Amino acid sequence: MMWLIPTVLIALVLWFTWRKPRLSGSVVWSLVATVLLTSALMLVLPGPLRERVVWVALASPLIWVGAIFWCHWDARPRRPQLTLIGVALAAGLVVYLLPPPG
Amino acid sequence: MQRDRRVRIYDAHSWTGISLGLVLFVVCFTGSLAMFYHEIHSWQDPAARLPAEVAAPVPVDPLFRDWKAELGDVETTFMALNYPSAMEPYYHGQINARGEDGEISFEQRRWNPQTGEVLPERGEGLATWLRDFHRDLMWPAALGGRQIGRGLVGIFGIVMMLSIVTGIITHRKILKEMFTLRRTRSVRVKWKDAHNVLGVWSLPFSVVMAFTGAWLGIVALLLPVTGLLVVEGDAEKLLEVLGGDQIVATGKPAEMLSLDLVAQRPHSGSDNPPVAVYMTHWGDEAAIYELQYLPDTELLYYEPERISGVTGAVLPLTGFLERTPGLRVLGSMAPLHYGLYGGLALKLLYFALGIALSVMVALGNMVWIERRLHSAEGSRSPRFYDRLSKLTVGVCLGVVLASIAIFFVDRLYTGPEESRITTIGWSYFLVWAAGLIFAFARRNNYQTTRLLLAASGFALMTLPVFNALTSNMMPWTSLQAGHAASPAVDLALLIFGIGAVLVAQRMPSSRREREKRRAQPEAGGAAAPLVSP
Repeated sequence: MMWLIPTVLIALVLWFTWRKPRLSGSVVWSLVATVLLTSALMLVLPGPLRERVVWVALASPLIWVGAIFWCHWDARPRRPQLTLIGVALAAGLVVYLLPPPG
Repeated sequence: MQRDRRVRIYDAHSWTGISLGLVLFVVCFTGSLAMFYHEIHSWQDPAARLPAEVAAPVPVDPLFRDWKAELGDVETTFMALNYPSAMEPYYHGQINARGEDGEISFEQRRWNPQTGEVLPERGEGLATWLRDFHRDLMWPAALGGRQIGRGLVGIFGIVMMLSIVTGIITHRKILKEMFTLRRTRSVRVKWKDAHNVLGVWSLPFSVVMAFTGAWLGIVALLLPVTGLLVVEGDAEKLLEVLGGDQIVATGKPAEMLSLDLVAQRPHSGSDNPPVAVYMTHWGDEAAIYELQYLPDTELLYYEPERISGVTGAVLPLTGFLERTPGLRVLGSMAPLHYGLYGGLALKLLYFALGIALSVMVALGNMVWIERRLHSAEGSRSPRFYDRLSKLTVGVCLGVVLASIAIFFVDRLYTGPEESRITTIGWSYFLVWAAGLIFAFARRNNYQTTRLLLAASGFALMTLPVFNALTSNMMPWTSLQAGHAASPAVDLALLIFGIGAVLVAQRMPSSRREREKRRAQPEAGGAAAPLVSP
C-alpha cells in the first residue's frame, strides 16, 4: 500500500501539468525548480560553502516568485512550464552527480 | 503591454488576493501586534512590573548557581541569563536540561533584582500566542509541528511578493492613484481608491515585509530539503557543516567567571552593557560565554561578543557569528521584519503600516466581491459572492475580536500555568468562530461590520480599566514606579478603542439603493442586494 500515495500524487501532478499548464507551472514546477536550482547552485558556485548557501538562500524567494510570475507573463502557457521542468531536471542531475561538500 | 497579458497579470493579482487574501490579512494583522511582544508581555504580567532601573541590584551569580544546583546533575544543552532591561526589569534564567530518559525539558526562573526573590512562575500566554500565531500559526504537532506552520507563513510571504509585483503592473497610473480618494463616490469606488492609496504609500514597507517574511518562513521549509539534497543529511547536518569548527569540551572542570562581572563588560564598539549571556560547556575549561548587546553599530538582532567563560579572554567570532557580507545581510532580516532598529517611533510606524497593509488586503477582497456582486462581472451566483463577503467580514473582524478577547482571558485565567497557552488558543479560536458565525447569521454585511468593529472598540476601551482593576495597579502607579510599558499599552488600547468606535459610527449601515445591483441575466437572474433576502 505504500506505493499508492506516491503513485496517486504523481498521476495527479501529471494530469495537472497536462490540463493546467500555467497553474501547474506556478504552483508545482516553480517550487520544484526553485528547490533543485538553489541546491545545485549551492554546489556549483565558487567561494566558501557558508557564503554560497547564505546568498543562494537569500535569493531563493526571488527565484520562486520570478518563476511564478513568468508562468503568468509568458503568452505561451507551455513555455515557462517546460522550462521549469527542464531546469528542475538539469539541477536534479547536478545535485545527484556532484559529491556533497565538507 | 498586450491586453491579454495585462488581463492575465490582473487575474493573477485577483486570484492570489481572493484565494489567500484572508490568510494574508490574518498574518499581517497578527504581525502588527506581534511587534509589541515585550510591551504586551509586560502588560500581561503585573508581578513583573518592577522599577526599570535599580541603583544597586543584588548579585545574580549566586542565584543562578543555586538554581542550577537545584536542577541536579543534568546535562544542559542550553543555558542563558537575561539581565534586567526596561521591558523585562528582572533577571531571567533559562536552561534546557536533558533528563536521564533523554527528554529535554525547558526550565526558567526570574529574580527580582532589588531583593533577589524568585518572581512567581508564569506560563506562556497572551504575548507568546500573538507572536507565535504570526510566526507559525501555532501549527499543531499532530500536523507536522511549528516548522510546517512557519513554512506556510513563508509561502504567504511569497504570495504577497507576487501580489505586489502583479499589483504594480496592473496599476499603470500609480502616481495618480497615490493621491486619488473619491470620498463622494460609491462604496466600491471608495474602497478601490483606499486600496490603491494604501497599497502605493505602503509599497516600500510591503516589499520589505514580504521579502523578509518569505525568507524567514521558507527557510524553515528549505533547510531540511537543502540539507537532504546538498549534504545528504538533514537541516542539523547542514547547520553543522556551515557552522564551522565547534569548540568542544575538554572534560577538565574549571571555575566559571562571575555572571555579575560579565554584566559590567561593555561592548567594544558601542559601549552598551550586555543584555544577555549564553553559556556553553558550563563548568568546563573550554566554557564559552556569548554576550549579547543591543546593536548600535550594525543592523542586527543582537551584536555578539564571545569570551572564555573561565578567563574572560576575548575569543574570535566563528561560524554563524562571523561578520561576512552574506551573514550581515542574513542578520538584518529579523530586525528589518520586526522593526527593531529605530526605537519606539519606528515600531509605531511599522504598526501603522502593518494595519494599513491588512486593511488594504481586506479592501482588495471586498472590491473584487463587490464588483461581481453588483455588476455584470463574475460568473458565479450572487449567493456565492454574498457568502464570500460574509466570510471576509467574519474572518477579518473575527480575528480582531479574538485578539482582543485573549487579553481578558489571559488575565482571568487561574488554572495551571502549563495550560495557560492552550486555554488562550481555544478562547482565540472560539471567539474567532463566533465572529464568523455572527457574520453568516446576519443578512446585512454592512451592519455586521459596524457591529463587530464597534464591539472591538468597546472591548478595547474596557481593557485599561480591566487591567487596573485586576492588577490593583493604576497606570500612574506604574509610571511612578518607573514602569512605562503597561500604561503605554493601556493608552494605545484606549486610543484604538475610541478610533474603532468612531470608524464604526461613520460606516454606512447599508448599501445605498442606487448602488444596488441591477438584474444580471447572465450572472444568475434576479437582483441580489448585499442585504440578503
